[in-house]
Amino acid sequence: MTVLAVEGLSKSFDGVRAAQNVGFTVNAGELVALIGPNGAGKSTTFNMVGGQLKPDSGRILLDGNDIAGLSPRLILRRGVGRTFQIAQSFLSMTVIENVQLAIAARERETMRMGAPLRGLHADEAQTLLDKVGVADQAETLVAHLAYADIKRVEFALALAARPRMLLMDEPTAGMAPAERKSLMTLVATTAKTNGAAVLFTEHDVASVFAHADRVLVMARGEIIARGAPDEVRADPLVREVYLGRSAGTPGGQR
Amino acid sequence: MDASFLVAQLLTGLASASSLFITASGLTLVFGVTRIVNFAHGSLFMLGAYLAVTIVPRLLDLHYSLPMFALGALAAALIVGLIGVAIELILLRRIYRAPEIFQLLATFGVVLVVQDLVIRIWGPLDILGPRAPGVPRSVEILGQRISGYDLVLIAVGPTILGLLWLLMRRTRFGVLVRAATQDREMVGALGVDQAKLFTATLFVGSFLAGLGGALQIPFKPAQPAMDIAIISETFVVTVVGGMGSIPGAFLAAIAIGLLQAFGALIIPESTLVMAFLLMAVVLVVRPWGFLGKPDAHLGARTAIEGVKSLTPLDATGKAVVAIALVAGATLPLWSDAYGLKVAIETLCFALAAFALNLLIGVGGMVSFGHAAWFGVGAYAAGLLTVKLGLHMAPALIAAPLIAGAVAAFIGYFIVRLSGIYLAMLTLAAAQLIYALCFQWVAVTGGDNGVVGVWPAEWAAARAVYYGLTFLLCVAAIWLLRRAIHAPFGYALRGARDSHLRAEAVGIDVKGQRLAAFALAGAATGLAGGLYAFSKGSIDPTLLSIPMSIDFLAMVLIGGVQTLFGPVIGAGLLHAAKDFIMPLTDLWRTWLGLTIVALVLAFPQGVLGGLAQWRARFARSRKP
Ligand SMILES: Nc1ncnc2c1ncn2[C@@H]1O[C@H](COP(=O)(O)OP(=O)(O)O)[C@@H](O)[C@H]1O
Ligand SMILES: [Mg+2]
Repeated sequence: MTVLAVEGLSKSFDGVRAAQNVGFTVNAGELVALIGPNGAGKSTTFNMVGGQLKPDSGRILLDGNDIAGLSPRLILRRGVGRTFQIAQSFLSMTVIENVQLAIAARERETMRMGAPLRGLHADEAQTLLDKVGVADQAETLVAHLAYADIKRVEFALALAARPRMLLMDEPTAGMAPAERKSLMTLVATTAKTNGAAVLFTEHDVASVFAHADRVLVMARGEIIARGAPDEVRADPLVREVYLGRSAGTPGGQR
Repeated sequence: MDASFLVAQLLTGLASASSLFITASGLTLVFGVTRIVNFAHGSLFMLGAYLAVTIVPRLLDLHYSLPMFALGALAAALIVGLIGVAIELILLRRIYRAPEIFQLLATFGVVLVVQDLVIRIWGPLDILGPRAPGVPRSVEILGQRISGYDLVLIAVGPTILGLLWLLMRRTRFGVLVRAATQDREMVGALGVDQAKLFTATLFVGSFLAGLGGALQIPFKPAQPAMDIAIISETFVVTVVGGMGSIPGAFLAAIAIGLLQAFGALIIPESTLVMAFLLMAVVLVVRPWGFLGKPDAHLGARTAIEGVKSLTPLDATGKAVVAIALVAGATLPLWSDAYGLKVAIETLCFALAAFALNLLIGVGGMVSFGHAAWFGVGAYAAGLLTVKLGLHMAPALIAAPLIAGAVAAFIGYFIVRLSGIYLAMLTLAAAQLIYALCFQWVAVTGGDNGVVGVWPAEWAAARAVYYGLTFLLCVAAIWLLRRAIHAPFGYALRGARDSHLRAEAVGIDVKGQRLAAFALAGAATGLAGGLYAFSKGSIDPTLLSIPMSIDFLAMVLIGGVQTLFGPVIGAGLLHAAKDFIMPLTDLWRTWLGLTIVALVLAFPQGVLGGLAQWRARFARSRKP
């Protein structure tokens, strides 16, 4: 079942065409990787789907309804959760408070001025922390976490929305290889068990080909190739613009 | 109204636009390069005027001619430029990376010091300057008499614009200034000696402020309050024009000059209100002003400054609160009437400061016009009792409701902005309300305010009124604290920590901030209402800039990172005022220096410092 269908999506910044006529679909339970060198337009595409940027043109169909140009908040309410390339969490709060707040926001409780947040949704939040593997740091301020753990909190914050569509912009950037693998495995199992659709970008080619069901290759704002990991790997065009440059982490961005 | 009359108005408007532009161009230049909104710019303007009324007559004694007049004005501006350099060297270069609230407060500290200095040197009376020799008192144009000096000013403004254009296009300094204005990081990357650039910029900017002040002496006397008046107008021009844009400032000055000249024809008492209204409209339609550009580094630059984490009160905290509550509740038993009076005022300020920190510390919104809500509450309570004959109780219910409603209305515009633009708009909004109360004499009593705002009979005794104030303020603070610990406060803080993440988890950031504004406005309105009944009168100082600064200073003294810091700050500042003010006529200097010292040395405030010290102590005791 198609969860997300993007058609003819374009966006320019002062004449720079960051995304051009981008189109793809993501099905329930499927992991689709969007790869490409730095500046290819991956984050721009994510930000249009997530509502952080308004597209110049194109349609973004979530379960068949166009969400292009809606605010991030409304898009979240339709079941899209996301992580950001540069982690965005509530730095002044503890890990569990971050998740509790995200759950409270999902439940539209942010105008409540009475009972403290402290006891609210604590069980659900704890379950999420267990899942992403930061339960033992529940009471630590996010500002004091290691970057890899902040990335895990990002994932928990994305999951708090109970999304049917997960957008993960470089979820493992800045992580050690072993951590990377465990986080990506976690993303994959979550998608399969919840039947969520996942769109992710990743610089680490190995983890892309290990986890993705399908791969989209972007360069200079356009999707230049798509298909099963093996097909894409064999595509000469892809090898030229992307994989060919170095076998390891092309255009690695840190 | 015939055409020639309109031409005359046009020329008057252009003259005041010219004069305004000269001063505003300096402020916008300094902001563009240093990203500091220099409150002391108004003080530099004032110094320019005072120096000019001192120097110019002496030079005219030597030789009575227009060149001598010009020379005197330039000399005054030059000295002011050097004073600007001194301010940069001593203060500004230490706070370039500090959060906006500290920059604004520190430069306001300079304002306070200069105010005292000016009165020390030149006395409190207005000093009128000489007329410019050789400039006719009036010229007849189309049968209308136009001041000759106005025509001079109309020529000087564009001349300065042209000279600045040359400076920006033809000199290395100009190239660097433009680079820095567009991208501050880039200058660092160019390897330029930033310090020198900033010092030079302060010189030019201050020179322009001084020149603006010096050139107005033939028609406006030098007087001690001119700094605040000009700084509000200059802020408006800078913001409307686009902060950092000199041509923008020129356009904005013309727009405001004309608006005021013609606005005065329609509603004579509306000049101040019009300027601020224009600013509010422009900020909503074009948040970056006429020619300004959004600044990616703005706002992203500073670390979180505010409440960092919330924990329930520990045993020590509970004990301290309990002792404070008992002491407060039993105060009438052991304090004299004067002590009760001070305590009532302190409680009102504490509530207002606590509410301000809901916006600043929790919401990350540096509100620079908090006195507005205090004043609206006070005026609502006062006017309802005196003019409509309402009793105290309904008036005290109406005060927070009205202040909250006004705060919500104005907040609707404010929450769209962030950082320094937000601070400027809160300031403008407060000045707008101030102008309304000041100029709408029929209703508000203007400058004199309204007297006879007395409590109901049952609360007339000091002790009873104290009890009422204590009860209401403590309850309001308790409710606000609850809201901060509730999802509401967390969501507000979340929006401050990360706007992106807040929206992405479903928090309506604008709505959250708007609610915070209304809530803080209502609480502060209650404080204002209580204050009005305790004083028995209301007047515009309750919503003036110095009052807003007092609230900010309370938050700063107590510490923005703690919830109860501002309460402590209110107590300390008010007590200090009460004890020190009668002993010295340099009260403002002390307050100003204290603010500067706090910003430089102790930015976490009293309670923040205490918490830090306790944490360190606890850590050192751990094995
Ligand atoms: N907010 C923005 N303003 C201007 N240009 C932008 C902005 N965001 C991205 N770009 C430009 O769009 C292009 C695509 O960027 P991005 O989507 O971040 O690429 P990726 O995520 O694939 O590395 C780049 O050339 C980038 O410089
Ligand atoms: Mg990216």
